[in-house]
Amino acid sequence: MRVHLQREIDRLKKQILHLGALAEKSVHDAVQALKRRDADLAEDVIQGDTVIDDIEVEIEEECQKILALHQPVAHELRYIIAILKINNDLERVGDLAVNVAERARFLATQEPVHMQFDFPGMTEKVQAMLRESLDALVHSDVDLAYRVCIADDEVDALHRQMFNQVQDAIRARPDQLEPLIHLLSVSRHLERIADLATNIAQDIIYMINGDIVRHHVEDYLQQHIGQQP
Amino acid sequence: MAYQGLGERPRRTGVPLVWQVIPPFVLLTLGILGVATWHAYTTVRDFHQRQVIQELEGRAFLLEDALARRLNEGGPDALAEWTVRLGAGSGSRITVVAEDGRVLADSAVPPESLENHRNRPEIVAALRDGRGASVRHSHSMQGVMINVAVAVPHGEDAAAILRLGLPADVMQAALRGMVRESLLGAVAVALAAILASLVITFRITRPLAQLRQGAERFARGDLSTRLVLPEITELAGLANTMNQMAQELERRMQTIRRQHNELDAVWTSMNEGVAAFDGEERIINLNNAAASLFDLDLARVRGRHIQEVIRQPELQGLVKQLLELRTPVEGELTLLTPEERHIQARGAVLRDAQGESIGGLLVFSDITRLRQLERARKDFVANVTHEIRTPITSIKGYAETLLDGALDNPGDAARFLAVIARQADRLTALIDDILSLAAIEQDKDRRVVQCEDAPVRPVLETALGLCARDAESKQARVRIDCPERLHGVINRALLEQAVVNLLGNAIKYGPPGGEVVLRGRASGDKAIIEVEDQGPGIEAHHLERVFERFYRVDRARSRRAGGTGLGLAIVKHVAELHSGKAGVRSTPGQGSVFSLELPLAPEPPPSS
Repeated sequence: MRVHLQREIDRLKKQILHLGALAEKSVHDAVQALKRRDADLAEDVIQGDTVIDDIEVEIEEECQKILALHQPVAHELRYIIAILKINNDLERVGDLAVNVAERARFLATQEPVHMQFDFPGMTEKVQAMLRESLDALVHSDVDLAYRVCIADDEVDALHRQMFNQVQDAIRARPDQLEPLIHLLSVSRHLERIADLATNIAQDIIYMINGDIVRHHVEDYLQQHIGQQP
Repeated sequence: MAYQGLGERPRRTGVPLVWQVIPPFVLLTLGILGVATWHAYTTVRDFHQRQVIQELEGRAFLLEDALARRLNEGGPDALAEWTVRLGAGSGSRITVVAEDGRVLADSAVPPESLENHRNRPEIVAALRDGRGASVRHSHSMQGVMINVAVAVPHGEDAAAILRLGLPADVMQAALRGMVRESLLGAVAVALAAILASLVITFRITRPLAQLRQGAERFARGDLSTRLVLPEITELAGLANTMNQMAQELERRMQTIRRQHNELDAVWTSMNEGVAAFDGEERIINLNNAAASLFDLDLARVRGRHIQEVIRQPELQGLVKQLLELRTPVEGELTLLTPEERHIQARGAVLRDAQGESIGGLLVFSDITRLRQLERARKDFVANVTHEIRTPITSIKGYAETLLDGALDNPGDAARFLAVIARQADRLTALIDDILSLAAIEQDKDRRVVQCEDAPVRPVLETALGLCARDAESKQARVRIDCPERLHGVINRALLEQAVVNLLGNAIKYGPPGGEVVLRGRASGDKAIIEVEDQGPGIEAHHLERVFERFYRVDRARSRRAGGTGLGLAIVKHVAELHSGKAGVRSTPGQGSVFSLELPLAPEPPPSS
């Protein structure tokens, strides 16, 4: 019975990593479509989200089955619960990537907008957070998960900066209002993706330590890495 | 012998040889000795008894007559006196017994104390057969006696029994002494036997132990030493065979090692990445190329699931497909980190020696460069076609208009023909630039550019001369600011072309009457040529793309100015041919500075 359960859990892990890879790719392609003003690539991302949705449902059903059949306890139970939550988070990452792709599709039809904003910096940070949260899952690396949680503050700051810059740009070039508003949306979507990456990291901390850190991350950060929040 | 599993430390199991040799040996010798002793004992004892019996029979014969006379003539006292006297004199016990068993006289004990002897065996035998003998314990004598009884007839029908007896214990004592000595001898023999067994078994077990040690060495993998042949033929045969076995094993292991090294060399030096994984999608092995392709540490990755290690959805899909369908698969992947790369993956089913499927094998080729070249070619063809088509469309349009009737109007005709001529010039310029660029690129690929140590200033002056007319028509003021002694390692023709392009741009895009500076200076180990203009400048996000082929900051303005779109690309390639760099600094509204970095040559000594 134990062997059977272990095999099921292994399969689950493979599936969730597959989902993670798909979500990562969606985000990357959406950002590329935005950068290169590639409407076709954006369309691919939008179409490809159905696969992500299907796999999310599969994984959830798989978890339910395991819980019902094997009634795991302790570490394994935490594992399954964490997988359920990460599953959900990854599917939302996919949806946000679709949102970004939709903006990219629209912006590709418009004149390029000139802004001093460091978009590449923000996309790079967000993608790094997503990648590291999945690395933390693979290697069960609690420290890495904590670092992802810390990094979220930077992204939030970038988003606030973006907000101000869009305001200035609209005042300077009112004729570019529409594309600028879309760019602001993109920034918000990216910030949400970073939040989800943080959620995933917190789920991993729960899975390994059994601690739910969602609402007092600062305390835990201070305890564990001695960093100022 | 108990079986023990391979790989366990050898224990002493079973029964040691000594325990199998000594007991039987010792038991055998002791047994034989015991049997021999017993046989000797009984033989001697029986012999002695027979001798005594014979002796007593002889004495009885001699005494028969005397007894008969005594019985017939004398009375009981005389008989008793005779019996005692002869008994004492002969040293044997004499007993006279009547037919009915009454003891008439005895030389050893008073006859009255003796019970009726009728049932004594020797008496019974004597009565029956005339004589009898027995060997038995005697109450009266308290010991074993050897008795002989003889019937002595006296008178008409009467007979008496004469019984002579000698104690048997003398012999017994002697025999017991013999047995004791035998026992001592047996102990000595047993010890000797044990010793002999030990020696013999030792002579067998020691070579056997050496053989065993040799075999253990072989088992550990040390096939280099050979066993020394023991003296015992059978063991020597065994040792010989073991040596042969070791030799054969060594040969085969060398073959295996060689093949393994060959395979390993292939595996390690392959340019393509190879990954082998099992039916559970776990990585069995990766070669170096694959490890560096996916930036993995082979030691940490072996045995882990592919999904954990390479988070690439297409790859994971290929792996799944290969394992499910068991047919070769092929696909293209895009790797995102550290930079974007295109990989072609081909997969086949991995089979073991029996042909059973045990997983899959994927081979990766890096086709990034291939794709880049393809894309560059596509872009170039698209761009060139577009660039060429535009003037040609123009020419065709105007020509057709002329044919349609504009010829009749001389003013229009002249104007239209001028346009056609201009467009034709533009086409020519474009084609010249394309060929130029192609030639430079080919040279770059073959690195056949001849550079030499030459002064820079003449190049600038020549370029100025070539652009003089354009400068005049825009009233641009061009000045050269370059030391005479500045030398670089350059190819004059190519450098002139590049400077002409830069100067032409500066004049073209600068304001009428504006100033253009052609500067040459040394900086570190580089000679730098700069062309500074007072044109409109270039915005920051265009700066890095400005050297790309056909890149236009502002399409409309560029076309009006008559550019081909390739000028700066040519400049960049020329710079790279000189192992240098082309660069630009610009502030919108304040003009631009285009620069060419070249290798500096040492200044010539001061000449006249």
